Amino acid sequence: MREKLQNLKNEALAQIIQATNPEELENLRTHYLGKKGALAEAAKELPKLTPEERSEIGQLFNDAKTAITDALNSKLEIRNLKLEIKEDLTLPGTPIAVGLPHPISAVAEEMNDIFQSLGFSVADGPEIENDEFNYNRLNLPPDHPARNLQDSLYLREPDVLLRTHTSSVEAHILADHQPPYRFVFPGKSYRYENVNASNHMMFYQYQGVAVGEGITLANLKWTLDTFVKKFFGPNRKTRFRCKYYPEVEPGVGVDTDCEFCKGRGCAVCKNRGWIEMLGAGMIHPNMFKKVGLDPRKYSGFAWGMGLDRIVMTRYGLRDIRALYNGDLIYKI
Amino acid sequence: MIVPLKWLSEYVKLPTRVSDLTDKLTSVGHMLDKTIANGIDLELRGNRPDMLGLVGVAREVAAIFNTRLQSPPTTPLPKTDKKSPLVNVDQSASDLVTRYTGFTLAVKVRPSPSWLVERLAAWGVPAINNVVDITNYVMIETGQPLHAFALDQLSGRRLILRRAKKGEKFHTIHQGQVLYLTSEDLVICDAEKPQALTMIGGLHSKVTDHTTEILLESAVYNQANCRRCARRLKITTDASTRHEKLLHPAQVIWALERAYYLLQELASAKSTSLVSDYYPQTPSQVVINFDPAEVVRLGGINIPPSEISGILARLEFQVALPKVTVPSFRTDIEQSADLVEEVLRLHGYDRIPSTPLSGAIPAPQTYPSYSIQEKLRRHLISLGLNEVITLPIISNRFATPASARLVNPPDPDAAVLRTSLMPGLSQYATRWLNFNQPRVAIFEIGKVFCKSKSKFSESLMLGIGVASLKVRLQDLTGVIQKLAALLGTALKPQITAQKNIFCAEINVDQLLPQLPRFTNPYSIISQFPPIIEDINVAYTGNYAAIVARIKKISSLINQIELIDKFENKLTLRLTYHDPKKQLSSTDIAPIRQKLESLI
Repeated sequence: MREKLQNLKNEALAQIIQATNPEELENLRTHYLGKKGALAEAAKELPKLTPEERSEIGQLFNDAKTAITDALNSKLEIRNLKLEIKEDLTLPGTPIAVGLPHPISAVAEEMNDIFQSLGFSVADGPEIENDEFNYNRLNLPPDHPARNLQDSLYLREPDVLLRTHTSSVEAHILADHQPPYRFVFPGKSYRYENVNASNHMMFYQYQGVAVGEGITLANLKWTLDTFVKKFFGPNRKTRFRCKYYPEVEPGVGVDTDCEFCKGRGCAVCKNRGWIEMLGAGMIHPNMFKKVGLDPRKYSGFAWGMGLDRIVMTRYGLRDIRALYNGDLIYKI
Repeated sequence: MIVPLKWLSEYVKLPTRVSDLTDKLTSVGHMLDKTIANGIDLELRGNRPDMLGLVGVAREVAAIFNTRLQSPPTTPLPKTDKKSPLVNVDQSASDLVTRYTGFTLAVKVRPSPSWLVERLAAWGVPAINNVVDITNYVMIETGQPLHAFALDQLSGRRLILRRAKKGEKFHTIHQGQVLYLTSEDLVICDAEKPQALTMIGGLHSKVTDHTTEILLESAVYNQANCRRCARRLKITTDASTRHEKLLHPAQVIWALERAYYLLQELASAKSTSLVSDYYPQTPSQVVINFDPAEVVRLGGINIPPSEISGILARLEFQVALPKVTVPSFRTDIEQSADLVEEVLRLHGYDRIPSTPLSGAIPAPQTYPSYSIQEKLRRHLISLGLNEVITLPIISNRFATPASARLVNPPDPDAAVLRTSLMPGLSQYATRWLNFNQPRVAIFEIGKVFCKSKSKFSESLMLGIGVASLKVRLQDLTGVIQKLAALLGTALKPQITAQKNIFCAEINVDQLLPQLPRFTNPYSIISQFPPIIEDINVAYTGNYAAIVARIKKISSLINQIELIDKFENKLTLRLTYHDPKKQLSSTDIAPIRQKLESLI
């Protein structure tokens, strides 16, 4: 009996799905659900069963009936709906308000997602900095020549300034957390720049740091390589080369193959075939010493990259000023 | 650093293909900026002053390809006169001078031979005369600046190094360029007046066709002071670029010996004095205790100790593990991690494997101050608002007494840090209205800044702006009320109105602690239908108070909606509902009575 009901249900559903016109459906309804239909016939068997069987089979019977009824109804409804639509579906619909994140936020969120899946958390930190966290703790003592490269915007010379890079957040993380930890942090940075289409006195950086025992350049390579493949696509190539940054040793420059010329060399990549994407390296032992960590025991890597340029390339925006001055239109 | 390849090949054998050379140089840390006619231009590396000389570049190339460096010929200097009759450093300037070495020579000044003129031209330096050209040529070779004074123009025929007097005048070799100095500037003077600065020579003592005897010097100064002075005086020369780096004082002698050789060859030079050498403190050799296991600990690649030693030896380190002695020209190498980089870069960064981070994943610990920004952004986007970012550095006309100001603004008219997001948001909204955007609904999450007495502070704010030609306050409060519901907390924004624009601002730092961990906007439709009716009440000017009073009457009043507002009358739609039973008119009657008293 159980099998019989099951087969009946399956057979009915299959026929309903295959039905192509309303008459066919109506015939099926009569055949299965009518007064003398298949289910009614099956119901006649019920009284012959034992009370236990009856309760179980009764349940099955009801299930089958509901399933067949629902299937018939929904098939009819969809058909009816289909029949009603004769209007031009390409006419503009009722406008609804769509909100979009700023492209910087959209990209930062995408990057956060990738790094969070690799075990990183997101940090942030102050934009007004002192000399200690913006420079000294990053192995940039007063009068270090590299300070030349980063013209600070001062609120009070020489000790209060707007952070010139998000590395200052790294300095705070080193001071505030005990290893092991992994953090990323997108944020604003400020430098003395005469504003034009490609430079701004305010820009965004995306920074990351991982500290623990046994962390190596090989881990840095894997982490950033994984990021590049996830963010830019599996075919993007990376190049790791030696580069000097005061806050790391050994230092690394990471390039991606130029997407405009596919590595052949063009004006965008200055004929190098590669585009500088980020600076990275193993955290300098002096930075560990500043926070009382033993650089012979702990190691870690850090990186920083310009977010604006990646955003501009991704969305085809050619003027950095448009990101912040109201010239950006949200098209949806 | 411009590197003419034919010139470079005089010191080291080069690979046949230029790209083989530049790929390797890029890989070991000297990125190719661009190729130029007959040469390459390498990006300057901030900590490698030795690479500011062609011999230094050649030495690096020799280490990369494991070939021999051919150093250019030199002539030993005359003996040193311990009394240093030619050079005297004033006590006031002793912190500004590391080494100053010079001697005098009789010379025949004439035009340089064409090979020298051509080489300087390839490097972008105009030829003057053989003496001046040789000082430039040797600087390009060695990275160490030198200068030649016309000795007959030096009053007293000797030099005094001292701090300049405030406002003291100096005429540079460039006709008509006059600098006004401060006590931070080091001046190199004769008995009467300054004859040179660290980065540029002086007009009066420059070597001319009439010069028959010169004082040739080479020096190392306090690099920080050189940097500050060059920036303040706005003078950048090849010498200033080098003096700002950490030059090693030992290089001074090599540069002078090389110049002496060329002066003998090309200017028939003969020394006319012993060497005066101001060099109070000889730095000790840097010796590093180096454990080769550090290479695998930091680099993640196993390189045999013999290969490690070999690489370091190629770079002219003296290796007797664990002791590694640093050559004097490598002023960038201070500790073990520096040596790890040396080994890895020569071995090849491309040969380092790619290995996933291992060990326990640290517990998630995203800062709440960051999460709340993501939450606000998500909610406001869901309400159909667009996020914008405006500049925190704003026009001076928005300054308030609490504004922090930039000491050195790039644009003097925008020297103020915002104390509120509103000026930026309303400017942005106006701009969009002018672009014929029919409805503007935007928000920004960002820091505002404040100065109180001598303390600077910053707070994270949320700003919301709505604008249109027919904008109503309710367009803004509608957003704020829904946001409050989504967040599960009351919001008390600062609201400002302008023509066609309403803005609200909320302090996110203060919002953070009052935010519930969880809000629940979901429930299942009740099986007991509600009773709905409209009532009219007098409007007293405070809608929230009216709603509160009505709600207090009975817990069965589930929902109150404003249907219409006409003059002083509000039409409210009341929904009565009991989750446990079907309501009847007898349940509602007593409530209705109380309501009437209220109306």
